[in-house]
Amino acid sequence: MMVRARPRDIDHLPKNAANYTALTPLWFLERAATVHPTRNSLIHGSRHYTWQQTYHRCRRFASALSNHSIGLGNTVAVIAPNIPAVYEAHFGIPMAGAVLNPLNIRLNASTIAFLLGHCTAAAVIVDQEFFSLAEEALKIWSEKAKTFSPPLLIVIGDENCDPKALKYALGKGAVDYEDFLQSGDPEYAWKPPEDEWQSISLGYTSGTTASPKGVVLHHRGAYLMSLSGALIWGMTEGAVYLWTLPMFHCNGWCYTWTLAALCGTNICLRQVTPKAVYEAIAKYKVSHFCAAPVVLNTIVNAPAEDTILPLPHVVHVNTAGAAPPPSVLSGMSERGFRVTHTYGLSETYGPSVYCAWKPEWESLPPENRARLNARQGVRYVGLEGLDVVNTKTMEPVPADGKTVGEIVMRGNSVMKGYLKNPKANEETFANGWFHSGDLAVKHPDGYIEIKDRSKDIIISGAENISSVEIENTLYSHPAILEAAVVARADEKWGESPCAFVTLKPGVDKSNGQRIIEDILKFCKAKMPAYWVPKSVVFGALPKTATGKIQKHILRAKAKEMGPVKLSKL
Amino acid sequence: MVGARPRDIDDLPKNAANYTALTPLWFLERAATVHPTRNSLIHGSRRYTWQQTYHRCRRFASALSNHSIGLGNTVAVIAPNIPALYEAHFGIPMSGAVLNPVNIRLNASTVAFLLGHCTAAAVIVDQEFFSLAEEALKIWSEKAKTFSPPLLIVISDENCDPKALKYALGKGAIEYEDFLQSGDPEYAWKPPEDEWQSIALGYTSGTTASPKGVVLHHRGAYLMSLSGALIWGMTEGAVYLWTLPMFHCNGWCYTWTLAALCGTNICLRQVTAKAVYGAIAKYKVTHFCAAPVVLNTLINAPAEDTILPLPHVVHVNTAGAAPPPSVLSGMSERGFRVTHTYGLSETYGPSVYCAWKPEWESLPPENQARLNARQGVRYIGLEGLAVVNTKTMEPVPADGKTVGEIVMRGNSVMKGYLKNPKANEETFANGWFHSGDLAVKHPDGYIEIKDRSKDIIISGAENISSVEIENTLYSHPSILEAAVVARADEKWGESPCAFVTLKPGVDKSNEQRIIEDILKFSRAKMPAYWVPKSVVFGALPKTATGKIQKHILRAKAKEMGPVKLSKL
Repeated sequence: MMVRARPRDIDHLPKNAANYTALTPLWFLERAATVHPTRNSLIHGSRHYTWQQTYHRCRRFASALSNHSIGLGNTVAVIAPNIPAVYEAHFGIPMAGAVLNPLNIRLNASTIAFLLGHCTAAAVIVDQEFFSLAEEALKIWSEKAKTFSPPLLIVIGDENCDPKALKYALGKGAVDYEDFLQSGDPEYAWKPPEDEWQSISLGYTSGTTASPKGVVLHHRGAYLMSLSGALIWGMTEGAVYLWTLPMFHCNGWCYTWTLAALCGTNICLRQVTPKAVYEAIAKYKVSHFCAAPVVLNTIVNAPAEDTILPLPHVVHVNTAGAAPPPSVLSGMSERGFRVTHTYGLSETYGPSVYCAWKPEWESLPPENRARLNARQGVRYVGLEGLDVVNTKTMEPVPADGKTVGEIVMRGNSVMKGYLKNPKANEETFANGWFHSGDLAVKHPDGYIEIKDRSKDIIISGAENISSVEIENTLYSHPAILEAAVVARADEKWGESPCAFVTLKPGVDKSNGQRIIEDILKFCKAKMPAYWVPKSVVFGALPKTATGKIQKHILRAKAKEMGPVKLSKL
Repeated sequence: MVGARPRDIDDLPKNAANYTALTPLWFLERAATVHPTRNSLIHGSRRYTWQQTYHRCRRFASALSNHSIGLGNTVAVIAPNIPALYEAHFGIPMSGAVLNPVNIRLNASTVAFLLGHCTAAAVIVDQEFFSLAEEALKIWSEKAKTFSPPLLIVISDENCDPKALKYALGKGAIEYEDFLQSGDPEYAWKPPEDEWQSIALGYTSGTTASPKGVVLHHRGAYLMSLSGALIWGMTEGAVYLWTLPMFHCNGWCYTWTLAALCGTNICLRQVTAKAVYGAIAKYKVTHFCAAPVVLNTLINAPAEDTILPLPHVVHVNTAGAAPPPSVLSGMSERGFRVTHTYGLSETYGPSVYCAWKPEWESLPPENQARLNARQGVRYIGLEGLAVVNTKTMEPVPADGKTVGEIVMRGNSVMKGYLKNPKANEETFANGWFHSGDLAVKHPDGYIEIKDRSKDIIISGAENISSVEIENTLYSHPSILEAAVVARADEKWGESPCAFVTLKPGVDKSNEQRIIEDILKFSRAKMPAYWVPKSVVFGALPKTATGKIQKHILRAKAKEMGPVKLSKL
């Protein structure tokens, strides 16, 4: 029996220099400098740059790195808040062929030391405010490493800050960032990667799970997600974007590159406060910003004197992380913000799923609208596959809004993998899908809704309790600013909910016990009795740089508290 | 010592979870998931939702597959802007085959040539054009060394006279809806294994005389679909009116864009000013594309065919020959926001656009129109654009004067021309795609076409820009359309010859007086040697996209013989 030859395409026309080039967001910067050379690219306090200037500066950056033999195969770490230098790093470092590693400024020195060693940083570029942190991290790294080559050390000055730290850093031999740029060629002939699969950025998973892993992202995915994020959000040319979300978190969810694609304007903020947010909206006509739910919370709860309301125009807000409570979504909407709820992970270039708003929801009562919008939703244009599956069988769960499965994803907006971690890669890519580890249901309309991350289910008696739903209820309590619920051992039930709560600033904290009683009474009215927290602990909640509450720390605290003793419940 | 070439920081591979071929087919699957109940297509009384369109397209792919049509095959579609042609943009590639949308205004012998050149495995034809297809197939079968009759499918349209459909069915054609019914609405289509795989084949339209088969790939279709939306500020839920034929560069990729945006497509069999204004009012059309001549008919429509003022801003994307400033101004006054774009079949349609700048808002209308009449700057999806001296390939200075050839490079450039190595070698010389169009580059980086290579008239020792003469003629109140070509001239070598279509209401009884008026008008606005030496009235030959077929006019000018010696 003759087997028919595999059919081939209708032609055999090849790729060539004219009809094929690697996808990379670096093209966006070159284009922005051509199309809108005189438009502001970056504004930071009194510092303004145009797209032409930014293009020159980024080429200087790449050129200067190249002069130090830093390029393909090297990683450059950046430790800085949302200042122009981090934005420039998103182009300058890849233009040199190197990989950008933006570090979370809220990590401690020993963690940073680990990360610098893990990625073998060839250079460390650090904002003056964090120089001592970097210095200590380098010391720890040098002591622990078998072999240690000191990385090039560059310090970024900021005229908006006290100059003492800069002087100290320069005295320690660090190169000043502006001097570093000056040593480079503003017309440096950068090249796109030969292969768009080349790595562009390395980020480490933040502390929502305990062990940091190095997420490697490629040029292709960065390009596609930069455009996808703009389309999903209805973000058009000339957008004005406020940097509330740290750029060190998934490259600012790729909006660093999106803004260049759209020839928009980036408004930098060293520190995020509600007052700064409202002021930037009024002064710069900010049209878009991203923020974790806790940031939305502070905006909704800002004192009147820090706000400028009503907003002069519609401001679009993209929020991700834990599902924002309906009360926060409602509060934002009332104030004139249009909130898009998105979901994603470091491993999917940031948000890759969003709650697509439907016009027919407009006529629903606010509570219903908020409940619908609190779901994670449907896939972005740039993510080709999204499903909720039974992790044992990999079969999709029924779209009944009840059956819990694991969220899995597939497509061009999934990372290359974890750096130097074959075991984690094997697990995370099992069965041809990326496993998020997050549990969700799928609703009849195809929207997914996270019911809890794997570790966020509390098993009390034989019952599963959704910690997220308890948290949503706590957030709607008038005295509560933030809440996180974890499992605490319980002598009778095995586990029971333990609530860690931050009260709102104006709340009278003199009688903690009365507040606890009020909270529990509030909960009893709104949820099944066995869901009501058995423990309430007041205080600030530990958070990652992105505002994600670090539940693994709270779980450790709950463990230290020991089991709940037998009680009448 | 030569150091080893540095490698990446990791050796992480592509796998089923983190890599998939780029293809616009993903957009349809997503639209059906995200907005299943939203209208995808509206054609007269016929409406489909995205879920229905997804089912229908999978039936389409399944039915083709049942006939062993897939990878390596081409399926020709001869139809105006009806739902079946939209569905073909997904159904055919989903089966692995290549879509070949054929220009319905071609004659049978040309269609026969194209069907043979691409070896069509199936021909899907709208009932109105069945006789054209039948004749073309006959010609193809007679001329071909080997001929395998393609599968023949006829598309009915309840908005049309059913006689043609009955005839087609009587001739053995399969009815399109029956064809779909034979397919599985849950067909498990697969994206291409390699995004370089061909998705569509179009033939260059008649602005240059010899048609060439432009092969487009899935990757470029995906990228340009998104790029076109971003450039235009087209957002989710856009409502798009099909004035531009889908058979021209796959509707400039907006066929796929609309699925990416989960928008709504409004089909029109025939484009008239009345139908355009009617659709804007009825369906809240937000966007449409059109050649400059279509814009011309919109601004010259009689009052009873218009619905003005527009109920909302309507965005118009125009490309082809540079629209005259007068047309741009007229559209703007009526509330249309015109984006002027430029591209070719070889670059998936528009890939360059005149990016509007806020600072232009305060300029006088004439200045605005002049700035907006330039072709502009590159799309996001086109990585390289330059104007070069074709001998040296050096970029011309950005002085707004030095003429060079427009060259392009990047992912929105075609794979190449089908079965035409010679043309490919020429067109991709020196690592750039050569447009053949001449332009200048202005200090602000915007390019402006000064003429396609064949549109320069050399009179005496002077070069004359036929486009600039045309722009002037378009601003004459009696002129609807104008095209200027070189005519041999006994004294000057060549001189401008104007072919003119007058506006409907113009009194044509005294042509000589009109000619004198036109020439007087021209003398007041341009150098004397630019004024046309000949004026010919009549309808202008056009391609399906409304491009004026200058090669036909050049042939007519040649037939007219040289201009005799005169006092000028």
